[in-house]
Amino acid sequence: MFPRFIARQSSLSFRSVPSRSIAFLNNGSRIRGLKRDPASYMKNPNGLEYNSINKIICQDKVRSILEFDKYNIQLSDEIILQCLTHKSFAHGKVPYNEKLYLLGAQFLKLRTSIHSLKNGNSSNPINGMHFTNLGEMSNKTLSSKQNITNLIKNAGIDDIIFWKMRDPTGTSKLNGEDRVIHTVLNSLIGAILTTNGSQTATKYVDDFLLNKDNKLSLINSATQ
Amino acid sequence: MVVKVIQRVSIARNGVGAFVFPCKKVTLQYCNWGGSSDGMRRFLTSERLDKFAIGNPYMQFDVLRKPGHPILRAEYTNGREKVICVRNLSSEGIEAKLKLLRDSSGDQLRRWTKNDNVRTLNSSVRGIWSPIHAAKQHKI
Amino acid sequence: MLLSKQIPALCGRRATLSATLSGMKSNIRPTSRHLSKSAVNLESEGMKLSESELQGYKTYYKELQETISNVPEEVALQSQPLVTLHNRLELPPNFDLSTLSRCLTCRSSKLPTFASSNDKNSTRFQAFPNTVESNDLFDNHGLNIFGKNILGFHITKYLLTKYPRLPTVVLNAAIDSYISQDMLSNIARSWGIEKEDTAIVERYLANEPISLTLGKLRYFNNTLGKIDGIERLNKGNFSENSALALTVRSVIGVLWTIKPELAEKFINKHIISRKLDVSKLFLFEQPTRELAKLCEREGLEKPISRLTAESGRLSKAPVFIVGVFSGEEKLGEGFGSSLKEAKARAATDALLKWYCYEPILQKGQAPVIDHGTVIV
Repeated sequence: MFPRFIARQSSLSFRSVPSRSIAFLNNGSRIRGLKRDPASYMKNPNGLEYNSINKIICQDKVRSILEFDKYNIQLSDEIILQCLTHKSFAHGKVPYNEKLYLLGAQFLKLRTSIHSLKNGNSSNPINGMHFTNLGEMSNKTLSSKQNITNLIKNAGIDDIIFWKMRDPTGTSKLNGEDRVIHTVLNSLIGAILTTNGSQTATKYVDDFLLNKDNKLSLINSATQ
Repeated sequence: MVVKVIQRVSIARNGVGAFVFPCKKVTLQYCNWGGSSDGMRRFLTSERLDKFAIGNPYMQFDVLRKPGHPILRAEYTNGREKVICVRNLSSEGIEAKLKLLRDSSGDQLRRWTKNDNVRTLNSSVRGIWSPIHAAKQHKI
Repeated sequence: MLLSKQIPALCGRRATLSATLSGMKSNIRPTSRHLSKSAVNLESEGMKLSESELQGYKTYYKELQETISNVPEEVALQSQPLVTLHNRLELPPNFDLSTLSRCLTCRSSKLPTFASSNDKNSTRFQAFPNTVESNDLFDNHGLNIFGKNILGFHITKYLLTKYPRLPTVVLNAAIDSYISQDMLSNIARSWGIEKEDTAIVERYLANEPISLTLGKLRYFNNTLGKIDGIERLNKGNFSENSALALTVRSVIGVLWTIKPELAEKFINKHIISRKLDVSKLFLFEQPTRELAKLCEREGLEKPISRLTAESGRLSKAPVFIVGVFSGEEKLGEGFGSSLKEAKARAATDALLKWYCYEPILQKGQAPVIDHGTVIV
């Protein structure tokens, strides 16, 4: 039967091939073999719906708290939403921030090390850079997971992050909450870097995130 | 996760991008007594080596006195070394051998077969001819 | 000063020739090949140092330590391996030779080497280290960390701009294939960096100038050489590969301090210029299933495999060509000696074309931000 079936297709007369379609969506407890209703998983742990998202409480909030306008950063709503979405959300069906996070994390690590090179003190600088204090804890904590998570929590944007808990009854450590939250800032930096260019991103990281005078900076959240 | 990965290494292409000079060190060995080192001694006392060294700042030159025939020993960045015995050679001959060592990449010499004219890491731009994809009149 | 920098051969050679003429013995600096005797061997052959020689050795050791702790530029200029390395890499003139020498000092070099920690009192097994205790302020530790950050960022950025849709596992593998420790140590070897593998006492006995060691890689070195028949396998930060990688990263770190663009150019020239075919990194377990998911997510019609050509179905060497179509669009094509194999190849081909997509990078064109890998 199989060869005949193929032979019928090989004539390349794009006839519609009958396909199975599932009309029944299951709501409530999970039943093996049945598709779940998207409405049951398209919301974050705080109950925020992904599909009917309010721009004012989500994207505009991020923009105003992180002062994007001041640094002339243009990020579209879709990209900010992508940055706020973790890979665990909705089985990866919606855009998520994994790779923006990777790029942003590398960039932030580089900028923090440059920051401590310039502001360190040692007796033997190379071209004005102080390399001896680079491996120390104070430099490492600056771009650490915990520190970035604290910053996001202080900024109050941790409740609009879209992610899925591993176990809704478990602790935040079991669910890896910190790990999820810290991807958001890094991926926002990654997004700024890709869309606005490295100059804007450098200025933003140096003047906003690594500025002692700014209340919402990595330095201040590290000293807390 | 369905996509898995096969770890591979990137392949060095010296000269694409940066060119690192392959010959890093030449040791010129001579004997103070033997007659076969006559040319070598003349080469060392003349200005030839100085000029050669100025022209090749990438290489380190060592002079070693040791009984026996004079030799040139070149070390390369690929970890190999090449040795040429320069007994009874005139100073011109020695310089020619020195140039030979300098211009070598350090790889082992091989006899390439006739069809080895093109050696490349890149895949063919036109692709490989396939009888199944060929136009109708060429089909077999 | 400039002249001797250009002609590294001359300083060493003049000294050698004059020594030969005056007839002093053992003044010719033998190459390291002739010096492979380990310190333990020296001792067993009854070559004990006399009192005055011991004093001389102490002075030599101290001078060596002071030089490495803070390399003076004049001494560095005398070092042939260092100068030639500087020239070979075509480093800018304001990249100091003393800084390059600092890149070659690893923090592990100052660790004591004993054949076994219990034998500290027994001189028989106390190893003669090849390196001296250096100051923490003058090794490549900080430079390495910084160089690692620069490298990591630049390679990630390069790969993500070139292949925006690469799945994360493949992206990480691609980054590794450029800048993993083993890769960097290969690069360092291709630069011709030599390691310091003679004991200080041997160097003293051979009357080797101190400047020579400045151009060699100094790291944790056990003197149980291959000659003794025992080799200690070093793991982690003590291995040769790790020390070589430290040097490459440090050089990049120093270049950045001179000018950030220089470091970027250097990375492009030495590391990104290497050949890597990313499509060879993929391994699909269920290509058809993943392709179906991908089409669903991207709003394309369901992928359907169709046989487009075949030859010798009933022979022992059949060939089938299968194309995978979404509506009227052909996504990929594959061959195989069975229908199943050809179908899987076609789906793999379609997926590779999606994931290895390279956008044409033009000015004014919006950058591609990928939505993420399909999760099946």
